[in-house]
Amino acid sequence: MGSSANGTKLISVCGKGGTGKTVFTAMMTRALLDSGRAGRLLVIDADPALGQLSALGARVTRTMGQIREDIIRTARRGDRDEKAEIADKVDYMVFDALSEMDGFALLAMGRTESLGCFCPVNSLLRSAIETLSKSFDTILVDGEAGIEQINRQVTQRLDTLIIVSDPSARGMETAAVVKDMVEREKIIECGKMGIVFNRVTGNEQLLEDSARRLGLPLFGLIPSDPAIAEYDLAGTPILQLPTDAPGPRAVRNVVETCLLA
Amino acid sequence: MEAIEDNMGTAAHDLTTLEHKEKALARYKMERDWFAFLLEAAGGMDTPEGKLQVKLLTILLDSKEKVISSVMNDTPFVAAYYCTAPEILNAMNLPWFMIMETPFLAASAPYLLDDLRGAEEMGMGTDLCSAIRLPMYYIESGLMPVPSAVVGLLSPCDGTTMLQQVLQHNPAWKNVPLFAPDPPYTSDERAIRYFANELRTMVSFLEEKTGRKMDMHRLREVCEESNRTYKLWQEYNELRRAVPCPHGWEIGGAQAFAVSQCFVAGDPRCTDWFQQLLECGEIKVKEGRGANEYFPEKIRILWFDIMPYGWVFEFMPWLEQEWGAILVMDMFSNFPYTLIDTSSEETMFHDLAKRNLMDVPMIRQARGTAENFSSDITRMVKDYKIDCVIWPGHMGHKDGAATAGIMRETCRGLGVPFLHIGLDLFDRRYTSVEEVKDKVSEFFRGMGLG
Amino acid sequence: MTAFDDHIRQVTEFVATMRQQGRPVRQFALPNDANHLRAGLPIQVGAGANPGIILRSDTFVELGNPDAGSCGFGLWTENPSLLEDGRVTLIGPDITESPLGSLPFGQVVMVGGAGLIADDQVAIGQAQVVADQIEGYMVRSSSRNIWSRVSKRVGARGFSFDTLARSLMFLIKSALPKVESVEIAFVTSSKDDLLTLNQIAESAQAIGRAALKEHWKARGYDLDCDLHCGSCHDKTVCDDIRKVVATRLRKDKEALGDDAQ
Repeated sequence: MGSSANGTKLISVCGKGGTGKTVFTAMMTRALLDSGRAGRLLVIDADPALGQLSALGARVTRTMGQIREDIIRTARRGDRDEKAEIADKVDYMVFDALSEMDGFALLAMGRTESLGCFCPVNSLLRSAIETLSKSFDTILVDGEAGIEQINRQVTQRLDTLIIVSDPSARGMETAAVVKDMVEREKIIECGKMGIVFNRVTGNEQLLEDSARRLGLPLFGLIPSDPAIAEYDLAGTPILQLPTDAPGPRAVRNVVETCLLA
Repeated sequence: MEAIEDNMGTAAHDLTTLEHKEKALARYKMERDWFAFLLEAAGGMDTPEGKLQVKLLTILLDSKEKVISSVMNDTPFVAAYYCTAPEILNAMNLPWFMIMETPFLAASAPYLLDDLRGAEEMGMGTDLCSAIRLPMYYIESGLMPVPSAVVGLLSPCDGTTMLQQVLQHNPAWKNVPLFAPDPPYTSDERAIRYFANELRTMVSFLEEKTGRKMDMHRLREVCEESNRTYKLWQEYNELRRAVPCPHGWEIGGAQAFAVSQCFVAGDPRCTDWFQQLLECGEIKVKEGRGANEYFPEKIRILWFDIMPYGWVFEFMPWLEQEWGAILVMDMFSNFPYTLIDTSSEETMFHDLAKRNLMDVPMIRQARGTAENFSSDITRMVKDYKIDCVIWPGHMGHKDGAATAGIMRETCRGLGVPFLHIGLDLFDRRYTSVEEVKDKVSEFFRGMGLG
Repeated sequence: MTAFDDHIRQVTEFVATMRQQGRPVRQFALPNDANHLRAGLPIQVGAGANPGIILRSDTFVELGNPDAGSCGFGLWTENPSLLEDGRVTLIGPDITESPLGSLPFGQVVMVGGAGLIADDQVAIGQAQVVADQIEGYMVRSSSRNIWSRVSKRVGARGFSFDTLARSLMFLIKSALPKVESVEIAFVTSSKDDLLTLNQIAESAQAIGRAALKEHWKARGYDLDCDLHCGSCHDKTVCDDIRKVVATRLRKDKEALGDDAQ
């Protein structure tokens, strides 16, 4: 998947578990839709636990994990014709896994049951996702399981990587590790990368200094918003948060200044 | 040496085909001139060892001139590796050069550090093995002659595999036909037969892409000559078991590897070189003379990798002079090779496959299971009366790094001290020579050696 | 039953077959006690006994030149009664009968001890690498076969297979106190006879390699990490999917070509 080739913007959100990535991604979805400039939007939930679905108030009938299982099953037990048909069918299978929401589409990666690497299967599905993504202008990936998983199963190139951290040393350590993985180990190709601090309750200057020390551009500070916690607890889709609430407002600012500028 | 062309700094992408050819040729000639310089220096040494150096460099230069001539006259030549059955290339009368020629053979050249810097400026990760980084830089900079065909290498490490990908993405190289024999994971008879088939496919590929034809009679001749070469090498290696060892790092050793596999395999000149080496060595053994007449042998080292060619002249002589430490054996000088049964086409391909899959250095140890690290060290320590084993820990050896523990345990079982340094065999900046000397000195002192 | 009991029986059958086929088969008994083995030997045996090397010009007899044929391997059992301690079998000419000659050479060292375990295999193998421990006898540094030289000096003193067997038995029993019986077979009759022996060797060596792998695994080192495609039972799945990926790539290229036109 390469934005340069067909203009599709690829954005992924990563970071330490529990820092609010899923909620942040959901708020980003809202902000992108409201901006009117994201074009055709695809959200990919790369959380094996499908966390993004409830945040977006979505349901899917099939996940990529299930498609993966089907392919492995066919390759294991199918006859020659059935195996050969995979080449033609896989695009339809992926398209079938797409859920159309209000203003955007959603693809859930889900989990895989089969033990084993099955790297060629990952490559096949990744190429199918690439084909699918040509139909979209903006793709937003919730990288709950980490950028290695994104590289393996979703895409090898991103325009923007947003590392979400909370105001904790462990969150920032993870941010540093992700940065290292991208810059030094080149786990994934990345146009730009920055950090967003979530659940901020003051000490903005300290956090700005921390971002500087990490060598990461500060994309934004998202204040701790009681409304978010309420919605999250109640299972109300984050998409339905009032747009003027502090959290969504801050995310909108991130989207406007860092993604759509 | 010829002056460097003005467009040396230009990336390959921006050059026309002719400019690329000229630039690469100029660079290749520059390397040729470096060896010509060494030949001239060796010519002044009126010793049996000096004559050996002259002979070796003469063979090397001849192989380089053949490549130069091929470039200039647009006749077929190939880029390949020492472990892709070079006997086949000789039998098909195909001049060839090793893609990793500079780090393996010319790392002592004065331009090497500039090349490494050039690679860094190009954005190549410094965690990538310098033996891979350098050819990548040459390819991307247009400093390597573009051959008629490439025989690729897919073992022992991911780096070599990646190098083939670089070729396929480079504008000047992407249309050069490439065939990489597929090395199987195992080392049994099935694996050998599989790889033999790969070599046959390689022959078909070369015939198609270069127009040169394989003549089985010629292959037999080359293999028989190769066998003669290898028998002499085996005999010579026994001499290095003598105490004191007749030759050190400079003579025999890794040179034997280069003469037998890196220039032109199965050539009577190579056999002749080995004959001379053997005679020279036998005289010294009979006379009880050691490698260094001024500094008696005190420590017998097994250096379990290629020598640190990037800074060999600053380190190896120091080992001998400071510590009486003689490099008795190293990974590339070790001889586990089986001879080629030339009774039929089938046996020749079978044994060439076996040799290139299971015998050639580094492939032998790092392609297969890790047991060869242990069994080779055990055998060499015992046979060569080794006092200590040094694993240089070249930064690019991700393939071997994981086996450091196995090597250490093996040496512990043998009661022989083991040192793991951590350095770059080609880039002195990675771990400075002084630091390496300090580590080695501390090791010798700590282990009561010397 | 130990892994090599069957191989020991095969060697016994091999000897019987050689006898039936009219080969000169000689058997003699050596002392059981390690120290008695060295009594009366015309050479030194032990660490440093052979400090020098044997040059071509100093060779009395060469054993196991690849042109002549070679086969060397070791077997062990926890059932010492399978072996006759001290027995030496010689099929073919003795060293003393072949001055300045080059003989095919097969050497099978069989070791028995009730206390022997699989982990002893490494030590048993190492004990057979005699290096400099037998005066006038040099095993050439070739890992794939057994190829050795007897010097003229010890040849003149009557170095024979009796001498070699005593030396080997002494070294093995000295190095491995658990060993109760050692039996050795030497074959110098012909290269063809060694072919049969080689079949037993290959089978034994495969078992030996597997045991070595387990030995290192128990020490925490995986010599042959199973996490590679070659050992995966689902390799065919990936092979099939690779073909699918290749098919898709080809179709994509063709489609691009059509578009260009």
